[in-house]
Amino acid sequence: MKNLKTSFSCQEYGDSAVLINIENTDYETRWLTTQSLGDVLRDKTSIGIIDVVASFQTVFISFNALVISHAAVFEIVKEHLQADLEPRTPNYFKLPVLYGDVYGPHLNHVAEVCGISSQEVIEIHSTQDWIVRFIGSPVGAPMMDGPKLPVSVPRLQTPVARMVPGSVAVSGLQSIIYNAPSPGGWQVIGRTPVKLFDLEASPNMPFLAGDRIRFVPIEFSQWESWNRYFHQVKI
Amino acid sequence: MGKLESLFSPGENMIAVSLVIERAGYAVIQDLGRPGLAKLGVSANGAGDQVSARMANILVGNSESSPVIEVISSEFVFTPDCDSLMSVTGAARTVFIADLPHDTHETIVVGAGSRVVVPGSEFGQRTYIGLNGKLQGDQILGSVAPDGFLEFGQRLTSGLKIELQSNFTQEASGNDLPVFRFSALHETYSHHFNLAATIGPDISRLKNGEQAIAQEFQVLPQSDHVGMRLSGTGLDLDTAGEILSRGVPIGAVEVPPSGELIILLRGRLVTAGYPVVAVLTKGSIDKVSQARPGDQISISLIEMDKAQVELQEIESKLTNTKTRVKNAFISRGWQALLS
Repeated sequence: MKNLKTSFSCQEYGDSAVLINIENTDYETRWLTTQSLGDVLRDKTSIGIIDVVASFQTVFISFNALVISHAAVFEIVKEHLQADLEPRTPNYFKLPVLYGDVYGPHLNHVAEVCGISSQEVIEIHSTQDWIVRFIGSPVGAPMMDGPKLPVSVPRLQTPVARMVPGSVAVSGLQSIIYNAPSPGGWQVIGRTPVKLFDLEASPNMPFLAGDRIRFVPIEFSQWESWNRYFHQVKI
Repeated sequence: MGKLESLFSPGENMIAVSLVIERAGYAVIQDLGRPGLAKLGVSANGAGDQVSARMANILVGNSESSPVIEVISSEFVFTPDCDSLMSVTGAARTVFIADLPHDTHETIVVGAGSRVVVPGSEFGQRTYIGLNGKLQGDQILGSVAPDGFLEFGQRLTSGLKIELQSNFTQEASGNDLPVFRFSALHETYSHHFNLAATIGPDISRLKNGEQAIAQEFQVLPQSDHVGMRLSGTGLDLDTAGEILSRGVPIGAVEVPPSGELIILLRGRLVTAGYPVVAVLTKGSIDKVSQARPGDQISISLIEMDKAQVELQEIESKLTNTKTRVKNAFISRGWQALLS
């Protein structure tokens, strides 16, 4: 069992929420602690906790203030951070991606910004694992850290009004997959044919924070065979 | 005797009511939304004015999270084909039933075939119509609430017929008179909204922090259910580094680099990275959902204990009305209407 004892701070965040900042010196430890704390708190709906968002180094906790107080939530947090928290064992996924062309309309621009070829961008993006740091909005979008492009990629000047579901995008040193037709400001370099969110399925999506994703470049001819829900294909 | 028995066995004696919608500007089937699904990246959504939606249900004996009709900035006209028990809450001040005006925020009996006109309101923008029973509507992840990202929602249009399963099978006594007086909690709106907020974690990032917030803001037309944009002056941030994505509460008052204010509403994404200088109280989140583009907004920072008192006061008013409705329904022999 890995010991995650840690330094942290607690802030009130409106009348019905708190924000916990994990303050270990090391990025990985901060994130592991954040996720482990998120996992234990998510089960505590019976004492009035409504929702938990564990991201890079903060845990956001919203609660029913008629049932539980800020101070009581801080106590629970302290209790758990003094105990040994166990990180979850990651699952590994291989996700097919059709890079470039209409599927990745910003691939060439990303290559230009990085001063390398489009092919090199694809190689960097697809030859190492990405770590799912947390699941965010809109609808099950995995926020990932992974292989480093030569420069931090800027956001689009004009956001895309309606992302095509499956769009694989990069910004800064991170990557994300848009599962919903939402607006978005990240640069889209490819698209996965696998449908990663299913309202009818349980679980609704394949990834949890901590999982590893390796992107696998595919040809257009392979698109149809992968154009299924995540639980209908082996990823 | 058969009638009496039916009062104690809700469900068995339910009737199907059809509501024919004659005019719907912007109206949807709505409920309290999907809180608690951040781990799926799903936003809370639901009625912008939660207290008004809850009160609409309380006044007709429904559970608070039952589906209601949310009408935004427009007139809504419909006719039920059976006697119905109805409430109208939120922005509307008057409702016309068979051309006769009635107060809103009360429990009203609508006779079969009576035309109900909920006028577009002069102030505020969200009106809720509660109907005893269960409005038929599809659900996703446990809620009927529209969600643009899930490409889900039931917009009501002119000419549409919707169904309601109701226990209100009694003959309506005096079709054109409200049968009870509950004097339910309701806000009075104008074009100016005074909101209360507690201090946010990044107030120190804003130059002249508390002073900069104490000004009159104007609601910009680019606002939607995700966030309300407010114009203001002198909202300068210090240059400290970027904030890593983190969870944000509904009601967070953010300062983006553009120097506007954004108030996050119920459709907000679960994480964000702008400095949060204040967080509206729960009561003020409901209030601000009633503000229209062009309306003026001022925000007062209050202490956390005051915010909690406000929260408890609103809740006890809801609970009081609930108790009065329950007692009145029972004394009338309407137990079956309560759920």
